Amino acid sequence: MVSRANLKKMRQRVAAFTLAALALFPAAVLLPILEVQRLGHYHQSSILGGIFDLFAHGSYFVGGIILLFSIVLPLTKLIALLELTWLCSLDEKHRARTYRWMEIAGKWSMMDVMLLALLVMLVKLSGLVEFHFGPAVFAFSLCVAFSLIATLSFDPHAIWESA
Amino acid sequence: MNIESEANEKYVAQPAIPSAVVVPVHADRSSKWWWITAFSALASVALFFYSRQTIGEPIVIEFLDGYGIKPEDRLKHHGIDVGQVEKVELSAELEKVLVHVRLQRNASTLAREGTQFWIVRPTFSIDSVGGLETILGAKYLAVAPGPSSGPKASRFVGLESPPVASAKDGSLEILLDSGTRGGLSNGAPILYRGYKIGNVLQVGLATDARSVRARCAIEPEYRDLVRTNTKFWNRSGWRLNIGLTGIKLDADSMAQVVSGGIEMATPDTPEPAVNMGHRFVLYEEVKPEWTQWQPSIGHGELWNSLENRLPQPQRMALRWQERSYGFRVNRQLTGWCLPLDDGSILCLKEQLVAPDSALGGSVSIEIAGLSWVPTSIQWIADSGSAPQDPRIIRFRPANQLPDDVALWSSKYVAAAPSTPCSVVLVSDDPNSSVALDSGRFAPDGVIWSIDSSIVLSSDLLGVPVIRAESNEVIGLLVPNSKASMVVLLK
Repeated sequence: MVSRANLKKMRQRVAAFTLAALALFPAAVLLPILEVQRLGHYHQSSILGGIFDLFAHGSYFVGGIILLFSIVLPLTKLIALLELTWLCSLDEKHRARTYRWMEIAGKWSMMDVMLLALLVMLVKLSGLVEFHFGPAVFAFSLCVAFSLIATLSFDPHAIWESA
Repeated sequence: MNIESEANEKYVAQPAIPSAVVVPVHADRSSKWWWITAFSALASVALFFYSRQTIGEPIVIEFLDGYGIKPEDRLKHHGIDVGQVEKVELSAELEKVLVHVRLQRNASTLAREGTQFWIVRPTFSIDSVGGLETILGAKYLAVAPGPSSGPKASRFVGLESPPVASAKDGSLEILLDSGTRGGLSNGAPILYRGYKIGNVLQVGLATDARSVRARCAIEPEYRDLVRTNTKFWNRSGWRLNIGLTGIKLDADSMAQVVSGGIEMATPDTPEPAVNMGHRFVLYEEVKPEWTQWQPSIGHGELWNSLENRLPQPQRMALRWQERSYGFRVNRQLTGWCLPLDDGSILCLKEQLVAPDSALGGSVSIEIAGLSWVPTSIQWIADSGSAPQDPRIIRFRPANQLPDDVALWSSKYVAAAPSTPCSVVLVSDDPNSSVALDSGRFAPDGVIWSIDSSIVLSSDLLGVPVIRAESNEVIGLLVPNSKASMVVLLK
């Protein structure tokens, strides 16, 4: 049996980490994350900029998938978490639904996967091109870590306890 | 206030009623994890701020031809990135290419009026190969910063080709007019005795198209070699003489063969040095006598150290009468003497002492409009070389020289070094001063004999000889049609 006090503490912790992740999210998405230099060509791109580039080149499917899985769903998950632990503006029935949505969104939010992909790229390409991380990598890594901690700390029992 | 405190006392005095509800101690206390949120918010703001910091000013450069420049190409200065092309677009009238460049923050001072931009692309021409890195790699923009005092600007007109090499500070820029281009091209050398002293900056038609005009720069240290009577002639790189005795091919340097060259010569009696922008005629053919000219002109550091401090010797005349075939004949010896700031005058002995054949009482000495008889002159020192037979005499005239006569500081009168050094001979006109290299002298006791190939006018009798390095008077000149010499101070 989880005590009310412990639940309240858990809520605050989850809300703290969720808000931290949300605060870092714009920096992670908007600031340049990669700086690639190859034979005099220089390219600097952010995640959102990369997605727009994909759209501009006509790769709507790939661009859409990345947009969905690395921006929309993670953002949805974070906002849902925040609602469940801190805002509590919905009634219990809707909260339960929100939790289910969050579970689904969480399964498909691939920010951590993308971080791994970046690391793999760094290892693979370091010999071929000059490759630097931009300032967004710092925000991105912390954002991934904090949203993981928030998800793991979340106890669904809180849904049925009013704040 | 009193009532309140009384009420408080009353309240405190009452025994506390135990509460039935147990409130968990930590429930209302904020979670200790909120600092993570604060930190993240701060970090996020800081990152945005940091990225803004590294973003510099946007500028727009107009080009007539884009030469394939595209976004993400770099703007480089001295080979270092200072900006990046963000966007390339056509102007509204489809006439120009507008290149939007984002300068790096530390390069924002480039956004000034007078800054020049051009697109670097491979060039292969007969006299230069450049921009090779742009064959394989990306093209890039290059920039030449304008004057640092220029006002801010954000729109520029790009150059179609790299800017013309600008002359070094202190160079002498002159214009050469010729009838035809004659193989001249930008960067062609200007040679003096086959030695490069400058180069052609730009070749183009004169404004009235009647001649080809070459803008040239003479390097600062050689600018004194160019005088108003200097002759320039076009020297094609090589000459081929085919005759009965064989074939003779004559070429100077590779650069000259490729880009042509200009040779110059200054006559033995150089006229004043020229000013910036002086115009000369560039001759097609060299006249034989031009190559024979051998003026001695001080130049470079030797000259710069002297330029501000040159002695101003005064004309000096010794007049006497002689008896010749029963007649009294007037004779005179003119030369130069050097008035010193202690009131004395330095000259050669023969300028002061008339020959024995002079008639008594007929001798007079004239300097700067004043005249004395020899007996009124006080010899201070026989600053000459040999004690028994002094060649140089320092004397004090009976009365002061006029105030407008320039005096030479006696601090700069010194004994000559034991081995010959480079010197300058100075008469009253600095432009006609003669420079002599140390190799032109043969030391011979108290005198240095001057190489007999150097002919010095007999008019230069007694001119001071200045040591180039130290700017000191070390002797006086005795010119002679056969062999001149310098009499040294000791």
